[in-house]
Amino acid sequence: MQLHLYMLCYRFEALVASHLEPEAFGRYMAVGTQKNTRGNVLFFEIDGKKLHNDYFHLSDIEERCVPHPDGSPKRSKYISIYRVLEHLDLNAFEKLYLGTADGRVLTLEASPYDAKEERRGANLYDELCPVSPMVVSALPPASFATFMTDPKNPVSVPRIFFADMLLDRDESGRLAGYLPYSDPLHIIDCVKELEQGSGKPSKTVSRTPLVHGFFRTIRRGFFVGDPSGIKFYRFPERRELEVQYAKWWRSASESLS
Amino acid sequence: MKYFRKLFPLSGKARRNYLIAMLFVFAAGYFWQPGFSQNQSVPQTAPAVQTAESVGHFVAFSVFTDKFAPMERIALITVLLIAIAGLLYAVMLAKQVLAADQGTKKMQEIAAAVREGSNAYLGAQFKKVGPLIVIITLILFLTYSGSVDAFRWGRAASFLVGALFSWTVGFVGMRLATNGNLRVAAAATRSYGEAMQIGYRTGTVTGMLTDGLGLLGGTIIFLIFGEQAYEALLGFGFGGTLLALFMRVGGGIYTKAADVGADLVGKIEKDIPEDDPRNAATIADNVGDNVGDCAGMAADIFESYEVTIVAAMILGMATFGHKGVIFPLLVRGIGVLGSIISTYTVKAGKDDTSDTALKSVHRGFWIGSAISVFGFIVLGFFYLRFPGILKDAPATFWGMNPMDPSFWANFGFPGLDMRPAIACFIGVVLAIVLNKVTSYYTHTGHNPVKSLAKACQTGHATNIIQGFAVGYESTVVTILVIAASIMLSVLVYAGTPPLFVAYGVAMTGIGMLTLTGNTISMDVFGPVADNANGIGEMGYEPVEMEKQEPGSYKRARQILADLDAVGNTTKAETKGIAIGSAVIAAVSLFSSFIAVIAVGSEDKITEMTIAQYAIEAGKLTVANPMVFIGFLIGGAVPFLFSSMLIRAVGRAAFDIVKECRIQFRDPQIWDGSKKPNYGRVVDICTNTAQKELIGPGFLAIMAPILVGFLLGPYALGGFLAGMILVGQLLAVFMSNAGGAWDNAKKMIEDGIYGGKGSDAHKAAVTGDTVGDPLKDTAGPAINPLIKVMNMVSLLTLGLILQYNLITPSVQEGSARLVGLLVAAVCAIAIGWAVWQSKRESAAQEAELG
Repeated sequence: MQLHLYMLCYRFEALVASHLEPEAFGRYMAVGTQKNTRGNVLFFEIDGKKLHNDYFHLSDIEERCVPHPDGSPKRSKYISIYRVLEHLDLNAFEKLYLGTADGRVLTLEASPYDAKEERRGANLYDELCPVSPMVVSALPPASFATFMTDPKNPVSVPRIFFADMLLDRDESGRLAGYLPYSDPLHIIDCVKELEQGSGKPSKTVSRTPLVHGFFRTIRRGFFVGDPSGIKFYRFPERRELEVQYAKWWRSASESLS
Repeated sequence: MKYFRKLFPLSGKARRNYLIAMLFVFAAGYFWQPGFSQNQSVPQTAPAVQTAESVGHFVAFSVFTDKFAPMERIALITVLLIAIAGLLYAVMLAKQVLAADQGTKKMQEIAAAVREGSNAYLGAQFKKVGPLIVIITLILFLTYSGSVDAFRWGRAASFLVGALFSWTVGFVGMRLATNGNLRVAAAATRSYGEAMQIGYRTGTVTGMLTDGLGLLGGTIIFLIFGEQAYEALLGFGFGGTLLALFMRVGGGIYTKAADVGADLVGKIEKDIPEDDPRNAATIADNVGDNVGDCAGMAADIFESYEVTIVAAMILGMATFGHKGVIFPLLVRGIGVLGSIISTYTVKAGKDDTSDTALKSVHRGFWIGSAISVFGFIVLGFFYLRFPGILKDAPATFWGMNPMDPSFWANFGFPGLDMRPAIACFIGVVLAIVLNKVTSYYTHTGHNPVKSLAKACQTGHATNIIQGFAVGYESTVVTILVIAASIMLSVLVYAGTPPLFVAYGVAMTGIGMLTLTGNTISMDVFGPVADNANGIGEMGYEPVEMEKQEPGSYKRARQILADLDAVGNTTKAETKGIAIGSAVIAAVSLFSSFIAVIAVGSEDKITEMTIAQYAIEAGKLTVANPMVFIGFLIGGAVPFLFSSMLIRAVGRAAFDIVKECRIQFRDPQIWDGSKKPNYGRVVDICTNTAQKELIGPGFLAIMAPILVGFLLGPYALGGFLAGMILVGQLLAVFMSNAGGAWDNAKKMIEDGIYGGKGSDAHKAAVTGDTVGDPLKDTAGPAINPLIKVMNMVSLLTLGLILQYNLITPSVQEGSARLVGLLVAAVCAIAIGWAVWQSKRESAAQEAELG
């Protein structure tokens, strides 16, 4: 049985070894155990060969993670549950998997990210790992990742994983009605403050955001970055979601959690 | 005490039973005393057994004797042919629907599961209700108090036929709906217009069956019994009504138990979308749409159709004689023709949207209304000539005084009386206005639903509070509209005796349900489109469809979603008509009720004088304590009935949740590699719905009998009045509040206040869940409840007059004992029903202890 390494990166971080294929692992995390994750599950597949340190003591992982006596696969063997993201090499991050509450899994491949295409204006980011506030920022994703992981910045982290969120507004400047954010007026206030030039590149919207219908709020996609670079996982267009990934999208967009 | 125990060595339970039995014996002895009578001056009429002779000997098919004019015979035969034409039209449409493409194998499998579940449900219901129908047929046969055997046979056989027709409408309609939904889903892959047409025509089949069978039954009864059709018509109406009650109650419990159960486990616990094939309750949910909204509603409107025509024919005979009976039949015939033409005009283009489709459905209704109004005004002009019955009009139009009511009755044509036609016109307008009122309170385009959606932003409680406010307001508006239409009918007949006024109200009911074909088409279209959407969700192959034609999957899903939205709107609109028609029919039946008290027996209704009617109507006042007591009890019954139904839904939903939870534990079901056992949940729903419908059925049948025998005929009159008023208010409140909550949720899901998954959405889901059993179980079931209680009262009134405890017309001492025994049996049955409704299911007991 092939052993996979997965990094859970939504609401908590952990490195897990498993014999399950990614889709099966996502389903298992969502609904396959009584300890199931209530809500969405996001995880990367990690290429163990590209890890250049032994922080996680993976040398004997094959001995530690063995199939059950009846031959069934070992579904999860936790390797680490603390400061995982910062100890993985950026190039070890393979595909990103988005699991819904009922266990449907969408696979995103890393895509080239062209920073030149970025437009000026406010962005809404949901920081997912290792910290999890929601912020509005005048910085485009690459610059935001650099800013947030800059050691000179007193409020920084070694590496950051975040989602770029929709910030659509109607003619009157209010947030579009279909966006399920808990406090849309406050988001707009934060954006206005940013636009009026408060001098800050980013402003925290919420320390503990509760984003209902999370996958419906994703704009361009997901980013994982540090001062050395950024990896971009493009979120499919609406049309692709409705046709190619219809089942996943229905599950993701109809979720109440 | 010890000595007593020694003397009677019985267990505590046996002693208690003995004491209760003795209590009854002493009570019987007490009531037997002649001095108990409260002397309410009920006219001491002659025993009913003598009355049949006074009506004359029965001659079958007297219509074909000299008693009827040749034109009247031709008119009746024409009505019969129109009824058959309506049925043939239904057969033609059914063939068209069944010939349509059935989509992929996967879609067919899903549709087959829904169809099997629906058939199993109605089959089980037939097994349960069938014996009861046979027993009631026998009771009707044996309790007939007249002496003409033909009437005895007539009312029992008509009851059986009425019940059978009602069941046929429900069963065939549902059967076709479960075939039509698959065809709609398949047609949606090609064109909007085709899918819309198949869906609507599927509904039209049920509508035309209702029209055809209702008209056929009434006409055949009249052809056989002629002027003496009273008993048979009542039997026919009661048969249809009782079956409709069972189908409404059973279907309502089934559909909401499955829906709530599926949502609780699927959406709330497991966070999966609606109609997800992994949810074991999905198929039951779809089956529920058919047995509740399709079979239940069709049977319900069928009985309204029957009862309004029965009321109009009975009152027509008592007022205008032959023409008074034949005119309603002819109006219904015109309505059938109007429905045939107008339903065929409902079409949609290849790329239409839900707005244009809705316009097309409404246009069909308008066309049908125009044809019907034009038809019965022309018919009335040539047919409604009653010289000498009411005040004759002056010879010329110009010589008339507009303040004189007869001016409006004949517009200067001597002998012409257009008032029945005008009353029908009021009915058509009433149906349209009720549609609009219901639409205003439940459609997303208007303020009430918008206000609910807005209230969801501040939480669950504010949504519920606002929903109550909207529901309460809507019931006031509806009752004002109904009151205004009754007032107009009264004004049309101003200056005439009360029975003519009652005939006017009955004709309003006839007008209201003239376009039953269109109304049911609109209603059944709802569950068909809903099911088609479910089949699309579970059965479409997105990747395959996109390979064949890029964009086709999304387009087909959009078409189904649009059709679902149209169906929700049309279905909600028709509920107003169903409930409104119940009140109109009940009011006109109430006049028959007074007429029977006035003459002492139903056989002598045609002999009643105006003075007798006026005296008896005057006694039905709340100043009479018995009437007031009856009024209070009658007003409480719809609440008890609703409580029983809502509890039943909760109990059934609990069992379903348990079963689904068990099935969700299977990981293979989760990953979609194994199909859940849909049949288990379908069985739970079927069995529970059958079990639960007995209690409310007992209440509906026994409560008026109990009140009548225990408190006398005037209390029963008060009981009916209270029940009609409160039933109407409660039914409209529940239907409209539930509809408004449902659509507020849909509004949010369409993308306001955060859309799906937002806090507002969660509040909206709560409102919808609360509203579900109100709008689809208890609310609509009150409609047949009102009519069943009316019918039972009318059918038993003869016996109640003879054997009630207060003022029995039979003077032997045993009369009160008979009344007491009947009342005791009814009280025990109702007590059992209430106790049953409060018990916990086996699963609840195991779970909650």
